[in-house]
Amino acid sequence: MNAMLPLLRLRAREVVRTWRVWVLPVVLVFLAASGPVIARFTNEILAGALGGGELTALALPEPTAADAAARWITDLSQLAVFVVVIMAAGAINTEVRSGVASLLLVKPASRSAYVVSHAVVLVGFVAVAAFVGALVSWGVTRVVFGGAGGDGVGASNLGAMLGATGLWVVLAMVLITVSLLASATFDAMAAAAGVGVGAFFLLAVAGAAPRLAEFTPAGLLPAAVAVASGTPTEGFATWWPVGTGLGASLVLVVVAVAVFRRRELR
Amino acid sequence: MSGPHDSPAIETRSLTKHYGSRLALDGLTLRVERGSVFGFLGANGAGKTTAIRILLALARATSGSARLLGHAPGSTEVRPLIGYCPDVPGFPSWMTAREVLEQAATLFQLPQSTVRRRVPELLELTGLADTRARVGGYSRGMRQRLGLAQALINSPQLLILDEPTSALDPMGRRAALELITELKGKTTVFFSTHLLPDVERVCDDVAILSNGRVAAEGALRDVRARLGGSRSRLVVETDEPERLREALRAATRVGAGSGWVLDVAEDAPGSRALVVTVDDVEDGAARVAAVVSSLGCRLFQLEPRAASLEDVFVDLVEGAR
Repeated sequence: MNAMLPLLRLRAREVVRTWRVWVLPVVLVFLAASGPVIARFTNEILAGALGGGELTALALPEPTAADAAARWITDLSQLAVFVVVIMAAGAINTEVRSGVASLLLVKPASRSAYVVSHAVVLVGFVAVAAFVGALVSWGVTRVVFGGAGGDGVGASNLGAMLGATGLWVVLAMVLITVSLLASATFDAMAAAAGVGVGAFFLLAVAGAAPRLAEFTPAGLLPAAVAVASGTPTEGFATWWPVGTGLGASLVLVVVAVAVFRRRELR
Repeated sequence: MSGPHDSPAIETRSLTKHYGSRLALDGLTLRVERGSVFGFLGANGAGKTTAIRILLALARATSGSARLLGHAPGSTEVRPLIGYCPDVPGFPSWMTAREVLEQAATLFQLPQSTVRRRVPELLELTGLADTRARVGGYSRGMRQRLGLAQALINSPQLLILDEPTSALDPMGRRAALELITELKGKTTVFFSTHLLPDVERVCDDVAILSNGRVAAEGALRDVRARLGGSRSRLVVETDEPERLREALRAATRVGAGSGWVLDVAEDAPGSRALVVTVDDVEDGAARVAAVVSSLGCRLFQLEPRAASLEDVFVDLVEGAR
């Protein structure tokens, strides 16, 4: 693939020099820092809102560090997913529309390298931001909960937190490559983002089906929540969703390259 | 058998391009010799940009073939040899002009010593040396100048420019045309435009595209001589241009005369000379002289004027409609 290294450098500089460097990390760090606090004081917040008597009737359990860890994965799977999808959905078609892509691709740079460089840098950036967020979340959890509520629970364990985040990163990889394929196919960023968001909901729904969750990327989200909260599902092998997720991402990148190589540029 | 080194800079054969039912290129056959400055003319929608996109492998031809410097469009052999500037170049908005050029140099794998020399040279040449702003804040003219600079970063053998002066102010346009003139003989310049004065100023050869096909092609002088005959123009200078104009205009009206005058116009604002388009230059000259005499005016000048490229262009394009 011609010019892979220069294109990777260009993409990396683009991340650092534009809104991308702020938006995703800020969102993730905010979620990472606020999640444990909200988890720790959920009962107090509810008590303030509902009144003490009603809360007693609800009989809420005492929050634990595991709740904070599970909340981190849930937060990742809501707002953060949309940010990731939007970044990938506009990566190719925006440059095609503006003429940036054609000016790059008449030079000695291949279309394959063009697509792959987008995928590599986006996945790398999202992974770094997610793991930094995981570290922040773990640190805040330790401060907020101290030793309480964390004994013997996987979520208080940094390894489990990073493992759960790793599973989410594989899910993000699938969504990034779906969105990139859509970005290589459709001129409109909104259409590509719609495909990415649709893919996420499809995976979320499919994750509720036991067989699908066990053997496909649809199982990545349930697996991440389970790992984070320290309650792995019995007989649930995470390597199947991880393996099929990585495989699907690879196939999606290959298809995106094939689609983009056939595409006519302005 | 000819190799890549003695092949023409651009050669297309029966190039066609369909967009659905619309025919954008209709059997385009073109030959551009190395070292020439070639003007690729056509009205809006004639197919100029489509042809350029096929030459650059940004689009695929429906049928026909194209070769650049003896190589297939988009091949790894030809990419390092060409430079391209579209009419509205797109750059990452967060970059500065210097970064755009350095990035382009990286893609061409130019040595660092060349980059250090060439980037400031090109920034100076295109009047962007003092600009520190990001490209996102550039005017269209500045983008076009940067487009020209990045197209020259690799000292290309073939420079393809799509309406390169359309957004430039008079100074920028003059600089760009001087630059193209300087490249003559060293680099083949293929540029599309509908600004005919630019072509008359710098081009050796032209092709006029109409409805996706070449309506005229050849050396600029030959095309003018060969195809300018349908319009015969006379320059007439007298001491009473207004009276003469009125008299000649009467000759254009149906029923008011023979209709031998096709048009009367001022040669230049404030000038005493009129440009009279007639159906036959010899007969017309005699008739104009007679009119001048009948008006009792003093005649200073009466001579034929060669057809301009604009005449040829308008005739060909309107004839095709």
